[in-house]
Amino acid sequence: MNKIDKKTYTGWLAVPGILIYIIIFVIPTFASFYFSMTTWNLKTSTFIGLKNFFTFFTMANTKAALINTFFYAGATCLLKVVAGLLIAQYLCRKVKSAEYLKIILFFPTLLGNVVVAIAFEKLLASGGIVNQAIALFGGEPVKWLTDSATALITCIIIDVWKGIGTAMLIYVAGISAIPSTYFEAAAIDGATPAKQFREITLPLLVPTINSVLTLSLIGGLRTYELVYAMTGGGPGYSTELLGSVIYKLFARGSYGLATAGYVIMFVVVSVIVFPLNSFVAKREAEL
Amino acid sequence: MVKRHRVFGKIFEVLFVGSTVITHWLVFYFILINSFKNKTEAARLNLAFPTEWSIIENYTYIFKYSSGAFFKAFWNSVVLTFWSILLLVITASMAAFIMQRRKNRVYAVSDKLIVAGLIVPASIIPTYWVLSKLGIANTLFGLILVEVATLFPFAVMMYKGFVATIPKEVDEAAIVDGCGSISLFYRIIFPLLKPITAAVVILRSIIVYNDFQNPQYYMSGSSSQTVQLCIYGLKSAFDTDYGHLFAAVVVVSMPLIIVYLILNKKILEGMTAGAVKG
Amino acid sequence: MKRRFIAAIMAAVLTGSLMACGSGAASGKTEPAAENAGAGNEEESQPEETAGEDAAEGVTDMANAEEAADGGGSFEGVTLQVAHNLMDSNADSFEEQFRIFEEKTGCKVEVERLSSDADEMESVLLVRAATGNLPDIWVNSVGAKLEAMSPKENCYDLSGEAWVTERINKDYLSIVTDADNGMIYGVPSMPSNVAGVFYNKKVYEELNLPIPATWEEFLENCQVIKDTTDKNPVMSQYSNPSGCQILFLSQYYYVRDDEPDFARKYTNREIELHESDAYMRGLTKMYDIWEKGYQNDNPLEISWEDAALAIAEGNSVHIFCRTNIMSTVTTVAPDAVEDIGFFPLPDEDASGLGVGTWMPAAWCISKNSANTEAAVALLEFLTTNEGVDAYCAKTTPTGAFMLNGVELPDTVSTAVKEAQDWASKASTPVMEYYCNIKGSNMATILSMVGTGQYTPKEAIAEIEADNAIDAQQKEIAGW
Repeated sequence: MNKIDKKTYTGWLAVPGILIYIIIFVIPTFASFYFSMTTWNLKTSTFIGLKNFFTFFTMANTKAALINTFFYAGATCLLKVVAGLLIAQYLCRKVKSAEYLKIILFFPTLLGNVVVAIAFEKLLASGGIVNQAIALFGGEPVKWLTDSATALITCIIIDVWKGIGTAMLIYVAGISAIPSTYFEAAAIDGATPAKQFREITLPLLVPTINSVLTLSLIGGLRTYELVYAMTGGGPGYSTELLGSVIYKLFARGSYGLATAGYVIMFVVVSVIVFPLNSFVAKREAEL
Repeated sequence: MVKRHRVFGKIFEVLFVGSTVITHWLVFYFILINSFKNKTEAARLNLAFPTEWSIIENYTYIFKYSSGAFFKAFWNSVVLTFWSILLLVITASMAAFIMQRRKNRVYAVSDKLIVAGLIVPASIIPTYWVLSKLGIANTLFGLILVEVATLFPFAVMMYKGFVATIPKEVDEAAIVDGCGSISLFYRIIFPLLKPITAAVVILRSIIVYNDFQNPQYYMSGSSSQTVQLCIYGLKSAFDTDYGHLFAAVVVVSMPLIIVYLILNKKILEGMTAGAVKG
Repeated sequence: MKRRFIAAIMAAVLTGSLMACGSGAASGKTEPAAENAGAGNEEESQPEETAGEDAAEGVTDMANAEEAADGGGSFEGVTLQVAHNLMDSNADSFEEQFRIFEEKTGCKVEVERLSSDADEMESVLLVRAATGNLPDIWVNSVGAKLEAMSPKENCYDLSGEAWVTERINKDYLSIVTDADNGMIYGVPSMPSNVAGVFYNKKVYEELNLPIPATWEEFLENCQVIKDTTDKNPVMSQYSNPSGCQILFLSQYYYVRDDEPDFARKYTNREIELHESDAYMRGLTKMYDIWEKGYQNDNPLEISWEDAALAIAEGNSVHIFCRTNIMSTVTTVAPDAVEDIGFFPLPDEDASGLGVGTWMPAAWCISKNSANTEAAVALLEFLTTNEGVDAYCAKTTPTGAFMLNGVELPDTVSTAVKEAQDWASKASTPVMEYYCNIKGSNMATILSMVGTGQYTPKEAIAEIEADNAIDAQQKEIAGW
């Protein structure tokens, strides 16, 4: 059997992909562990041990960046997981405008980060349309992106605006994969839609929820482009994220330190996501 | 009672649909209307109709900009997206097929590496360093490989899930009929993977086309620039012309929007296919 | 139907990208051919050269004649890769210059756009230099930022070219010359910038305000404006890194006035930043404006356009800025250009006023370029009067060109002329040209001072710590 397998499923088919992956992704990842312990100008590197890591944590913006990153990732993830599910559940009932809503809610996903950043930066300016509307109702203008109290929350809302389409679509796909006979049977038994949702949809949707959760959590921990394009990490350090700290170090040519920052991000993401993933997978198996 | 429930349902639906006018249409309208204004009016960034329409001026400027740099960037983006996705689909589907069918230590390790790749971020500067060692830094080819490598894990996982639903008897029957391993894959298996291929193509195209970070790090300069970088360039510190900027925004967003409007049904089908197994 | 459509698109993409590969290879091969063509066409190119001479004048004649004698007249078939990060009118000006050069020599100029963010562009160039991917010609900030590029290894030495010393302003030349070996690495690409206070003259006349000679007087003026009108005394623009830093960096004139060797001493870590009172005043000035409530309430989101418009319309009265703000004024409020005046950033001593300047970035040639001959010819052309005229055809310059014998055209605004007068009277290039130590959070820290989140004391501690990290990463001795 094994011999036949070897012939039928020749390893050569897997070689090109795995080779590209190893050369372009795996090797640099391992190389980064070394370079994180050097000062490096891309040509020559001097080994300095763990000094970069200490330096990274003494930087004024690191603490803010770590807290912001956790908050940002947690909040965007939670909103996408919960709101995405509720919207998807709503759209999967017989709603006339479901098609329209699916299209329109997914639309922002098609726009690039820079595009979204440009549009919202201007919409939310102090003299912008949103504040004009607030003024119309007699309210005080809000500094959405330029007040340290509101900036991060505004960014989170925009991120969710842009990303909820994907979460919604994954859920819609997951819900439509549930055989409709389950619901029909439940309906005959007199189960209310709420009960159907609780007792059929939710348990069967656990794998889908898991993938939305993991994907948006990973995304939230790594991302910075959208926020950086809108606020540049400011005001002060109030929207600084781990990704933007690393980027700024790169922009100043501190490649060794920036790589140390990357390794820290690597550890942060791994420490959160791997255990979470195996925990959820275990729960899934129990169900 | 039922009736009242229905009335509430209708009201909710109307409110929901109505709110998208503010949350979505307003944003799109804002981008579009400002792309029609001249510099002075666009700088005010409001929703008013332009007093002086400069549609043709703005849009031709975008394409003439820096002797067609924008057009070239546009073309680079198309080439980048096309080849990245083509290479991704071929390599990921093959790898997934083999990895799903064969179980030994090498594949177990590869599997672990690929799952890890789903989670950990890509290391940017060392990657550039590797590319430059290979002599493909700052080339479109190098960037295509980077895109393939970063999207590889996700695509492999999607394909693997789907391959698992194809019974092994199918392979055996094909082998009995005299198929070699390569023709088994391309004539029998790959066509069966069509729904998931559609999903990979559509969803990953959006990512590659809109990718900003990778092109920014791995390539710079218009001879190899992509449209996303080009827009970022237009958003300059001094002298920004928002009329031009928004015209560029509209032009850049168009291809995906058109593709999406044509294929939005297929996207959902593909996603459903992908969701069958995780 | 749909399938056929998709097939057609795929075919187009495929052939297109293959063609792109083909042409890439072809352009690589043309180099030797081009050289031959250059030699062969030597005589043919003569008439063109003379045409060029007619347009140019004075010193350039000699230079052109010399170049023709070198045999570098025509560059048919050569493609030069030129990278810069300029936008809009400046970019249009470059384009015009390249177009004329292309016409004159048959050389093709391919422009690459780099990031418009100066720090970003710098890092991109550093990465490309380190990995051997520099274009033939690129634009590079001068001074310490040029040193950071290891010019000795990356830049083609122009010191052998006679026109360089003839055409380029001596001060500028001293910045692009390597003190160790006399190598010259670049030529100015565009006009310089002078930083100071731009103000609305109409408001000053209305309120009968004197031009302030000290910071005290400046604050008094602001107080009058605040008390008697509903106008903003100061327009602060902290929404992008350059806006946050201009006031602070231009204070360097007074720092250097106090301690002429400040930049070198700091680089060698012989002094600390907080020890210089003049340096600290850069921070206290930003803090003053916030503390006394003289600035607009949205400095973090206002764009240069809005800022320029507010000054032009008189809703705000002062702005700390560089002369290139005037080209923004020209576009957003063309009628108000003459309503704007200039005075230097005031300090303690009324008699010691001066301004900080930003040197034009330099065009540099890559040492590894296969087309240095054509590249040198292009750079020479850019410094001729004809080249300058081509520049001015698209942009009204907002500062001196740093070229000998090139006067600013009469069309420049009064504010620019006033700034230029100060530049020639009392000025210094800002500290970045002498010291490459700058932490990655400088702009953010400054914006926090300017919005009252940090006191100058808190800020200086953080700037020093942040700079120390940068210096250590650059392995500068003594850090």
